[in-house]
Amino acid sequence: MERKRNSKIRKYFIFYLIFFVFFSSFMFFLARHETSLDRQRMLALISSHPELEAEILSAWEKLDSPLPLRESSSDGMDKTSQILDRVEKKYGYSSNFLESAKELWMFWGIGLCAGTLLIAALWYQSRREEEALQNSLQDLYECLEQFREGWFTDIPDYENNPKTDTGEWMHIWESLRELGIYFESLRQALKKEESHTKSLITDISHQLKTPLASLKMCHELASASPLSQDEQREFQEQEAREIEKLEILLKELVNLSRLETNMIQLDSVSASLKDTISGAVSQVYMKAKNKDISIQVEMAQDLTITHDAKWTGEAFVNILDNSIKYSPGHTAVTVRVTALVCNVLIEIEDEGIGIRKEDFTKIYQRFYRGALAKNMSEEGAGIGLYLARMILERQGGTISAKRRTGKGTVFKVTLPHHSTPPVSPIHSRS
Amino acid sequence: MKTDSSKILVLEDLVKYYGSGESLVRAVDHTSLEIERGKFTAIVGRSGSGKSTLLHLIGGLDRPDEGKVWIEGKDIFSLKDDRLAEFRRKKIGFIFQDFNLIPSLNVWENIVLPLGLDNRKPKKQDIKEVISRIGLTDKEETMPNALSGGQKQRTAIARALVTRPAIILADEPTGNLDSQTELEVMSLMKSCVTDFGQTLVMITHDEMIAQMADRVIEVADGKVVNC
Repeated sequence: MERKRNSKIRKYFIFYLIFFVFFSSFMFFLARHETSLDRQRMLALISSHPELEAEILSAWEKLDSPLPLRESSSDGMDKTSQILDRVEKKYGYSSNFLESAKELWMFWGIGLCAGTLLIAALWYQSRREEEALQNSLQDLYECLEQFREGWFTDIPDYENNPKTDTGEWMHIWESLRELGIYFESLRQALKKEESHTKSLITDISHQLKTPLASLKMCHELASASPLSQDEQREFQEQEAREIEKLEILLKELVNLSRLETNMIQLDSVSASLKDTISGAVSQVYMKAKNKDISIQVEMAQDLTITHDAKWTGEAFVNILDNSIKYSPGHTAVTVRVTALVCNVLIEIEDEGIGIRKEDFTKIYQRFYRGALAKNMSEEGAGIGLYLARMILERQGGTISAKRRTGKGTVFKVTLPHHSTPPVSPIHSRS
Repeated sequence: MKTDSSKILVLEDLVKYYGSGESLVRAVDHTSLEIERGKFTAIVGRSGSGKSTLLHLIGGLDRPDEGKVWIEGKDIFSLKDDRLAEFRRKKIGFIFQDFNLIPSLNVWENIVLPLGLDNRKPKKQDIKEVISRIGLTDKEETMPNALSGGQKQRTAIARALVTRPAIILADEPTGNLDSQTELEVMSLMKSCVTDFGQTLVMITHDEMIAQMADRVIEVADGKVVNC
C-alpha cells in the first residue's frame, strides 16, 4: 500500500515536472517572440524617424544588454532611459525585455507555488481516497469474517453512508446483504428440515401406537383367558382387522415419509390425464360399490398434460377415497375435467357429510382429521389430503375444497398443462 | 431491534388510525406479525377489518402512526420518501384487484415498465420465461383493452414477478374474476411464487384461496385475531 502511494506521488511529481518544463519553455518562447516584436517596432520607428536613429539604437543596445537599465546610475544610461520613457509614452509600447523577464520570474514563482500546492492537494485527496477505500475494504473484510463465523444477517446499512455512497460500493453491499440473506435462508431451511424430520418421526410413531396397542390387547386377551371356539374366532378376526389397518397405515406412512424426505422425485412426463383418472377410479371402485356409490367421470376430451401419472393417481385416489368414505350410501361422486388456459381443472364432487367451515384450512395438515370425520366410524389417519396436496403442489398444481350448495363437498384440483421445472430461487440467480 | 432476516417481513406494533373523536377508525390497531421467506400468507377478514390498510403499510404505500415495518431487516419507514419509493420498486411487487395496467402500453411494455423506472436493463430471456410461464407468449404485443380479465391479471402478475421482488403483495387479486379464471390465476400465482422462490402476502375473503395458502392470518377490527 505504502509503495503504491509513493509510486502515485512520484507519478504526480513527474507529471508536475514535465508540466513545469513545458510551461517555462512556453514562457521563454513567448518572451523571445515579444523581443522580436520589439525589434520590428524599433525598426519601424527608426524608418519613420531617421533623425532619432542613433538614440534609438543606443537605447536598443542598452536594452538588449542583460543589465537592468533603470536601476543603473550612469548619466548616459539615464539619458537612454529617458529616451526610452519618451518613446514609450509617445508610441504607447512597453517592451522592456528585462521587465517582462521579471514578470517571467514572477510567473515561475507563482507557477512553482501553485504547482506545489496542487501537488499537495492532490496528494491529500489521494490519501483520503485511499483511506476511505482502506476503510471500506476493512469493513468488507470484517463482513466476510462475520460470514465465516456464521453471522449472515448483521450486514450494516450502507445506504446512507457517504463513505460508500457510490454506485459500485452500494452494489457490493447490496449483493452481500442478499448473499447473507441467502445463506441464512439455507441455514433456516436446513434447520427446518431437521425439526420437520423429528416431528415426522414423532407423528408416525404416535400414529402407529394406537393400532398396535389395540392389536396387543386383542392378542393378550386371546391368549390369557380360556375361550370358547366362537370367542377365539372373534378375537382372531379382530386381530386380522387390526393387522390389515396397520398394514394400510404403514403403507400410507411409507409413502408419506418417502415423499416428505424427498426420497421420491416426481417424474413429470406428458401423459394422458384420462388414463390417470380412470386408474384412480378403478382403485376405489370396489369401495364405492360396497356402499352403492356411483362414480361418474365427465371429461369432454382426453387431455395430455405433463404430470407424474403414478403419484398424481395416488393423489386422486386419496381425494376419491375421502369422498367415498365420508359419503352415505346410494349417492354419487362426480369427477369433472375442464381445460383452462394454463391449467386443467379437475373437480371432484360428493354428496357426503361435508367439511366444517373452520376446518377448511386445516384439512391439509398432516394427521389432521376434521371434527365431522372423527365422529364417523370410518377409519382414517389424516394423511390422504395432506399427501394429495403435497403431490399436486410439487407439480405446480393446487387443491382447494368448497361446500356445495346442496350437500357435500367439491374438491377443485388444478394442474398446469406444462409443468415447468422449478426455477432456482432468486438469490442464487442474482 | 435486531431482526431475524429469515423473517422477510416483520411488523412491529403497527398503528394506523383515521379520523378523530367519535369518527375515529382504528384501521390497524397495534399489530405485530412475522412472515417467513418463501411462504404464501393469506390475510383474511371482513371488509372494513383493516386488511387493505395493513397491506398498504406493509408495502410502504402509507406511513403508520406508530410502529415499524421491517423488510429483509430494513426498517422501511426510516427511509426518506424518494428512497422508500426506490426500495418499494426494487423489493416489493404489487398486484391489485383492478390490475392497474397502463392502457397505452402493450403487454410486454407493461411488464418491463418497473424495470425501466429503475434504469435496470430487462433481461429478455428472463422476461420471456415469465411470460411463457403465465401463458401470454402470443399476447406480448396486445394492448390491455383487448385482454380478458384473467389475461390482464396475468399481465399484472408477470409485472410483479419480473423485478424479482423480495415480497409480492396482492390485494384481492381475483376479486374481479369469475371462479374458473380465479382458480387459474391463483394456481399460477402460487406456482410462480414457489418456482421463483418468492414470498406472497395476499388479502382475500375467498375461503378457497385461503386454503391454498401456507398460512392464514385473520384480521378483525384492525387486530390479528388468529394466525
